[in-house]
Amino acid sequence: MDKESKEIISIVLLIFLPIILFFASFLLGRYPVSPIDVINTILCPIFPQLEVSPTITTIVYEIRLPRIIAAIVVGAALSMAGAAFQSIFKNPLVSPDLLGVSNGAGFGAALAILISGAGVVTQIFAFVFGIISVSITYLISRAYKAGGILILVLSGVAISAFFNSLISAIKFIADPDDKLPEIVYWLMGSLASVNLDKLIMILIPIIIGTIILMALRWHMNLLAMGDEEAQSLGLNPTRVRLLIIAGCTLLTSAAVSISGIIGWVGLVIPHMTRMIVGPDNRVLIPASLSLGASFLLLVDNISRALISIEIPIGILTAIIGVPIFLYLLKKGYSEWS
Amino acid sequence: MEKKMKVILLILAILIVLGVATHIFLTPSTVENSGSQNITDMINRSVEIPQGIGNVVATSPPMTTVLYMIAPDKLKAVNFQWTDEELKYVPSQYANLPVVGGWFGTQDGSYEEFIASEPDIVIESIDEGGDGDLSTVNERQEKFGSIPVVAVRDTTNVEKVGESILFMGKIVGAEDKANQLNDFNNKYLDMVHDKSSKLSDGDKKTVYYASGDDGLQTSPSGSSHGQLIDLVGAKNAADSLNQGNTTSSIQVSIEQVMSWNPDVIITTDPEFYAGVYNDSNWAHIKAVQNKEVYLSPQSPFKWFDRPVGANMIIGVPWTAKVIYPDDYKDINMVGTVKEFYSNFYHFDLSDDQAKEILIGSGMKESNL
Repeated sequence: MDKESKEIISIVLLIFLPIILFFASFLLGRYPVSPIDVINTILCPIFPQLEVSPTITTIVYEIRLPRIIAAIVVGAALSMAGAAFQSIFKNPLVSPDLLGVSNGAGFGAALAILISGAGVVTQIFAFVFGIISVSITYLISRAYKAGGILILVLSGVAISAFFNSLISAIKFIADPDDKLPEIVYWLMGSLASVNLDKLIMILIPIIIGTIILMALRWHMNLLAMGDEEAQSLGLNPTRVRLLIIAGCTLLTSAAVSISGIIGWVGLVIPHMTRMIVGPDNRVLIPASLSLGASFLLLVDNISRALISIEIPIGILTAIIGVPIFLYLLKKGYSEWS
Repeated sequence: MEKKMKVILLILAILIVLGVATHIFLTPSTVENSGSQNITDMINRSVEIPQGIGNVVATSPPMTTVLYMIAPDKLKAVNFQWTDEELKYVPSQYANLPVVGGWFGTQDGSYEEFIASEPDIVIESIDEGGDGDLSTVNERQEKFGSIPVVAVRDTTNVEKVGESILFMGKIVGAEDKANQLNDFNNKYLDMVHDKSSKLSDGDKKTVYYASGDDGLQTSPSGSSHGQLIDLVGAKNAADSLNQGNTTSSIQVSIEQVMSWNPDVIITTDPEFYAGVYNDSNWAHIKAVQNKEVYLSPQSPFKWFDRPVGANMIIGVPWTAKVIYPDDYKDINMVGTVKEFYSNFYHFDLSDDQAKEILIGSGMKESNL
């Protein structure tokens, strides 16, 4: 098979995989629902004459649908942001929380759980503090005249560590019977308490972030050649980088605000995608979106359907992701160069 | 190629919009239920529940415990697996109740798992003084759909627990059993109130509550965990630390315990209890020298603490007897334990079994 037809097959696969998984996921869960019932329930709003039981309607629309959408959105957002970061920082070991977004969001959530405990407040705090922490990182890096990428990364490491300590401080003073487990559980990551209202709240930042990354994926290719090269082609690398960072931060903050901290996805899915479609960002970014959405959807199905209690998804992403990753690695990894 | 990417985005957008739209336009048809009644739950929500409830599940252990005590045959599932030790006091017909998990500690339950156990109603506990409660209850109700969710104030105070027991009795049609449990509780509460009010400050013993396997975690009386110590009129050793009510367990050092030199130590940790008399660090403490260390009985539910709830009712006479054996000579502990286990744990103990539990907790045969 030649390279061209391989590529076409990959792309067709990447388009259909999340769609097939989306519908298949409705069939999975702890409550036994027959495929016919699921199909009837999904079609019921369109064909009102179909008979469906209210219990199954609840399960399909209130329990399974929000989680399926959430897994797709969170997986896609983290993978896209990871791919974009790896490309603009020219480093394959970079994940979306490089500039402190996860720990910032984690601190916001822990603070909200400590003072209020309401889900909506926690979500808003996580989102806002995620953005605040990246802003601080960026402003610090701009304060040093001889800035550049290294300073940005270093201040990201510092701000990450700083917020991490603040999280520990909150854990230390939180009530160990009530607040502490809640904070720990949130930090482990879970899609268990997602509902449509929470999803609607993050819709706008997710859409804006996606549009920014999609629109700038040509520029990412130019940035990858180096700043001077990009400048000579009439690009302002600092400004483009800032825009990409802003898009990634919107995506990651929004994702983390509904799911808690889910590791591994944003670091490794872009690698897997690169092995499949190559390093060209024009293909890599949308392909990461598709693969990330499919992967997290698959993992979340296992998390909610395997045993009688919820397995925190942050635990499963690596347990399931590592073997897949190592398998792909074995098949050869010449694309990253 | 670019077109294909746009198509993906478009599909994703359509799916989200479709989901939201169905959510908005979907009005689930309600099942005609001839025998239903409107009740007001403990946070003033109006809930419609079926007449004559047969199957109930609770989303966390404290209310599951109450249900097990007053209406065991209506309890459809438990939140976690009984241990072998606990099963020694569980009748066989309840030993194999399905385990559905729940929302407590650091775990989240699975709504589908709960719905699959086919409950008529779901009981959701509200912690006293907890926040964000109404939103949690609303979230549960949304996800349980047509199954009514009834919110119960899961009181963590043995003096107020009667209220939620009586409420649960009304809801599940077990008023008699609920009254019986409430009366049992009140009888011993009145007794300890009466006796503790007559204690002069000089008579009050100092009690250290040891938790954790090293015995160096404790709970001052501001937290709900050491409440039985205050209830029977003893001084909680850790109170000198002046910790607020927010902290439920604090780490202390052995030197700190030595300087308190408590008269009595009560522990909930079997490992600590097993080693305390052979530990040179603890050997200098008055309670250890006088063999005044007591281990809360644990099965089928703990007597002294964790969870704090209706399971502590039998802990009231026990705590009173171990701290002030001379003042409570009129309580026959063997008879009290047999009565409680028979009525509320549905398990008939022999005299020897009751004695085994009590002597296992460190009580002296002469004080039973």
